[in-house]
Amino acid sequence: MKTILTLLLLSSFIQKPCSRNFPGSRSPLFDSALLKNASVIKNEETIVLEITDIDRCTYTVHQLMTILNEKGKDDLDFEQYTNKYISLEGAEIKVYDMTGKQTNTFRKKDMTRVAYGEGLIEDGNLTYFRVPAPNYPIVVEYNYQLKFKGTVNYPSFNIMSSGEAVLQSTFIARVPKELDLRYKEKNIQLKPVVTEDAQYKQYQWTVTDMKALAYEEGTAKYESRYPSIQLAPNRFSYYDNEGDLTSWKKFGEWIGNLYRGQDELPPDRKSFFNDLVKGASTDREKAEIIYNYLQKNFRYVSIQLGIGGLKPFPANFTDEKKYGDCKGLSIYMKAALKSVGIKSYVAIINAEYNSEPVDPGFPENDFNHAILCIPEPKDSIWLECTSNNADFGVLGSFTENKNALLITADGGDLVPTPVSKSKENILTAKTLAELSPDGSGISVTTFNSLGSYKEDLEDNLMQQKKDDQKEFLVHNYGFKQPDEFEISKNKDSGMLSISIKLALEKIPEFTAGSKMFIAPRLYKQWQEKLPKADNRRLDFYFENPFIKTDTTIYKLPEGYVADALPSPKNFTCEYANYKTSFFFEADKNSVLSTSRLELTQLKIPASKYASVKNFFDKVMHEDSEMIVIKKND
Amino acid sequence: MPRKTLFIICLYIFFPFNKSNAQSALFAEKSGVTNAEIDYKECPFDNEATAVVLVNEAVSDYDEDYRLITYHHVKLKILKDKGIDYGNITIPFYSDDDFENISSVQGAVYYYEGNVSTSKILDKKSVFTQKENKYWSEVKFAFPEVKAGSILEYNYTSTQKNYGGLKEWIFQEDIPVLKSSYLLTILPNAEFTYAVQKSENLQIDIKPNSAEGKIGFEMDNIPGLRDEKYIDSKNDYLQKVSFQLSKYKTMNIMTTWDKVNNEMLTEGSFYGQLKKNLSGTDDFIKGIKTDSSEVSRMEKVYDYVRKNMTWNQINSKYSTDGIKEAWEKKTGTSGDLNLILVNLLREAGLDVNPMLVSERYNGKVNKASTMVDQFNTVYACVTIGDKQYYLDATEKYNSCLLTPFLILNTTAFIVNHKRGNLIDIKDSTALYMEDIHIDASVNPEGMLNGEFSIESTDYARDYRLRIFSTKSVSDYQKKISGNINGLSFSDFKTVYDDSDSSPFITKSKFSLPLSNSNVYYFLPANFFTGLSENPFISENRFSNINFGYKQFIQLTFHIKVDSSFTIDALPKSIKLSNSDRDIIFTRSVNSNKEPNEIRIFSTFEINQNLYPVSQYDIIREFYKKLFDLLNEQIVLKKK
Repeated sequence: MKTILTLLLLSSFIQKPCSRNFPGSRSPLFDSALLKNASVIKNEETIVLEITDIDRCTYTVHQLMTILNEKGKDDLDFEQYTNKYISLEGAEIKVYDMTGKQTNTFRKKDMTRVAYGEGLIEDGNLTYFRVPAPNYPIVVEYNYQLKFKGTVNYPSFNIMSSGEAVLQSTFIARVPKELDLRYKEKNIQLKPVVTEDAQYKQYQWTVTDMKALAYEEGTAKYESRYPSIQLAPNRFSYYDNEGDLTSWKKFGEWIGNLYRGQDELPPDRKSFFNDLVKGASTDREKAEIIYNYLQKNFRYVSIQLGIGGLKPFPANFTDEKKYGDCKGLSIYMKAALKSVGIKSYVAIINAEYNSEPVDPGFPENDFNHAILCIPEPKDSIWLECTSNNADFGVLGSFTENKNALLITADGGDLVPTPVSKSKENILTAKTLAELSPDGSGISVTTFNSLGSYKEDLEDNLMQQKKDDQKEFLVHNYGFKQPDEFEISKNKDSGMLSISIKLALEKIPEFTAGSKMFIAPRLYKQWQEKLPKADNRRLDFYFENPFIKTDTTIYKLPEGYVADALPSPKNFTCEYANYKTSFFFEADKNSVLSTSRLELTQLKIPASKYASVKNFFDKVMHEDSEMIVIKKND
Repeated sequence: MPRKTLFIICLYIFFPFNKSNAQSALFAEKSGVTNAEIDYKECPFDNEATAVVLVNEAVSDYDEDYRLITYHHVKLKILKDKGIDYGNITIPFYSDDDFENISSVQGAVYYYEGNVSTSKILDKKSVFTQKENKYWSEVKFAFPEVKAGSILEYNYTSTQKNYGGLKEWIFQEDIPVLKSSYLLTILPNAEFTYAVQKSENLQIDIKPNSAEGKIGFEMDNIPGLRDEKYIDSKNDYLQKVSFQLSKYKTMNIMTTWDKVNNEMLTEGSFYGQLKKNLSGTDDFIKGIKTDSSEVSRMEKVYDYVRKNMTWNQINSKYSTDGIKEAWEKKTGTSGDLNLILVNLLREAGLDVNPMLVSERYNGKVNKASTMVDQFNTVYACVTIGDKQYYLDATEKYNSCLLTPFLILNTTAFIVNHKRGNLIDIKDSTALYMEDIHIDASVNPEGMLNGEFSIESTDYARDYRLRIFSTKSVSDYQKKISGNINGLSFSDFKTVYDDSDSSPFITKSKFSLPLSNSNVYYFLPANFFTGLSENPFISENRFSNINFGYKQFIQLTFHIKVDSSFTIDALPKSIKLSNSDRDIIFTRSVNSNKEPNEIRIFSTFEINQNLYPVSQYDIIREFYKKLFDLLNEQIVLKKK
């Protein structure tokens, strides 16, 4: 009731500022289809990107938006990233009240400027301002201009994000004919109107009356979620280095020039590495030895320096410091491999488990990370050089499932990185829990882990404070609160093997009369409640595929027998399968519970999401079933 | 491990002499590495530490321009691989108006293995200075070749324009500190007060040396500080000494609370802001003056300021640019907003004063120390009859009748043109209160269907309203579901009025498929109480448990069960309390056969808003039992 009332009030309020901007009698606020899911209305937007030269462009923005409620507050944040080569000019924000009267103006002097980036030295500055909105709805007008002195990226036309209805938006790109530009539609079909004069070519995209899209959790990164037009230069100049982006090969050449000569080590270090790999016979073994050395002796420190953060420190610098960023450590690894005669390439990539692979047909600079690739006739070896505990030759979903640009002597070569595999992310648990008649008991759980689980256990259980370990066990893994516990690392077998011994006051969930009710496992195998599936529009991303197996043996107290066991499960869906079994072994006086949960791939197409959600709901539900044991009288 | 924190009450340090000649050796500790440091493998009082500070020492002195020069010397050792990030150093400094600069950064890293030692000098080129924002900058560097066993050492000099930069020396860090010392040379003709905050079981060595105009402070073997739940402020537990200039030449500066009051009364950006006429407010004031109820006038003014002003997220005790400008811009600091509030409340004829507060995360106010820096912001304090109300216009979801959560259990200072006074803020009546009703039935298929209402009052109202207003409905539902999986909601609604203090009500129909093992079906008995994760599982705790408010949660759960089931087991009826009987959980469970019916009535109350750390073991034990009881379920057996 309350919401309807608010909406009605709002529409009568808002007509004035809107009618000013929208000739004719139509008010968007009576268009309920347009308003559905909307917390912001983009009333009007005009963006002009004017490229005047290979290293000069301006980006001029005018926007008028109505913020309908608190959920649209992100559009009250004005944020512009600037650095030596991007400057913010003439920023002005006007605020109107509901009668259409201007109530406030803010300029650059009202805004806050802070250093940006987490590294050792700054990546640039962020100018930000939050438009005060004591009340909703509120109408805000943004006018500003960015000036670029050289760019390898052109800003894209981001038509909308979730919760934004767009009444009218126009993007104009003007570019000298001899430079021209390339564009690509994302999540929309929209052709530009192209015109020409003597000097310039002009592209114009216009949209009107676009409905707001509901926010969905667990999707790909922002750029690939919403309608947009991506732009890219043919030729560019960045920090006074001219380059060509018409092909991956040429772009790779340009990056290669920045890397040239950075992969040289002094002679003593070369011989050090040759000594180090003396015993190894294959290149793979040698590479693994050097990779282990890197993991043990170097640390990742973020340092964005040189050509806007694109040029790495030379290998001998990294060798001295024993630290570096992703480029620095990758080039260093390359240099070390080179010194023992192994060829490798630095590869630049757009990292994050939910980043979509870059489009081979649309070369653009959309990378944020560097890794290393040792080419092999079959199954090249990929190395993540910033991690101290990654498995040799396994990248993890941060950089898997993507296209990486190999920087070779012949220029760039765009190649797919390995596909994430469930067998590279393993958590295998074996538990023996011995129950006493009062429900207390001792249990030992051994986890063998690989991939993301190995990193998780390594980060949270190794060399941590005991109380932090305890919180992790109870809150993250769902163990019962132990009275005492011990964690020990077992012998290295490629997998990280950890044993956790718990002294528990109560192993059962609860007891009643002569019965004990016991969970299928001592910890929770699956705890993540997946977002709702209705009208899912976008693909869903898990962080990685995985295999989790569990074997739990409950040794029952003297005189107890199993009264009821959860029924064995065996359900599957296209991307996952789950199987459990329960046995009472009278001779051993034990209940044996086993389970295996596998997710085969991390990206779930929107159309299949409902079945996957249903699958995981069932898995979670299974965790609340119980083993019932009772005293045999 | 109970660790009372105590204050060494302020002492005055005043040395009328000029300083003696330059010291021969600046630091007590020599640079370089000792054999003991090389052999140091594990911190004896914290064997889990991944790194330790071996030495952190500084010496402050003035130069011919009376600038405050501080020489720092730090040595630390990485003990375990996980500690290597302590090799990345950040030194923040106040750079606005070039007040402070950092110079002469030098460093070295040492590593010993057997008889082989290596050392490396920190490369000057890899020391960076970065401006963080208008006020603060940072010097940053990463030591080369850091691994478990590395000893890192660095020196730097901070130069501040004057002794106004003298704030505090903090002995404690997040990793153990073996030795921390500070030697201060007092400015001639100036008088400083200092206050030591320290734990009872740690020693501090204070060495005044009036002959040389110096005073030294040292503490040894200080454990690291860890984050904890329901901690009020880490500041309250840090081992530190704070300084305030109290007298310069013959001028007295804020040495008594009366002087603080006078100072604030004459401060232009504080009390000086209180007689401003804010444009466009006359009609509003005229309109509400006809309202004879003072409480109602207060509510209207509070609402008016909140609806017209947005907080820029900056806390301040003052209105630096003046409240008129803030009012024009419709945005400002907490100082701007609340001084506007005081202004308009006065115009509305209410008895109101500005009140300096230290919000809970800012740390306790030491009443014996008259340091204004102890307070982080200003609120409005309204007196109506014999009751005082504390108002903060930066708060969006709070009713003004309820004392803001952030100042519960704190000390505040009311600035008054007659006489200011310190008050302890405790709200003895308001609670975090929730009344939950569930009416449901289990059908033959083992599906639980029903409806519920949650009535949230006072602090619970604030809490629910805040989540509901800032999150999506599905996030809100997820939050109230707690750890019960598989709940689905229909006809979901909330009832509230954001301009008054009436309860926030959540109502909905719901269903839950019961899980089963063979003939047994399991029905949880802990719905919507917010008690889903035990916050107290750590063995150790150093800080008091500051809930802020008392709590009362009540659940009435009525279930009809289809006749194809028998009731096999029920949660126990029980009363659980701590030894002081101020944390109590009760549950009474009744059932009928034919028709099957179950009634559960449970309550959870916490009758103190603050528990000293000495009671932590008892509370932890109580919560452990509580969560065991909350785990108990109803067991139905299919016939």
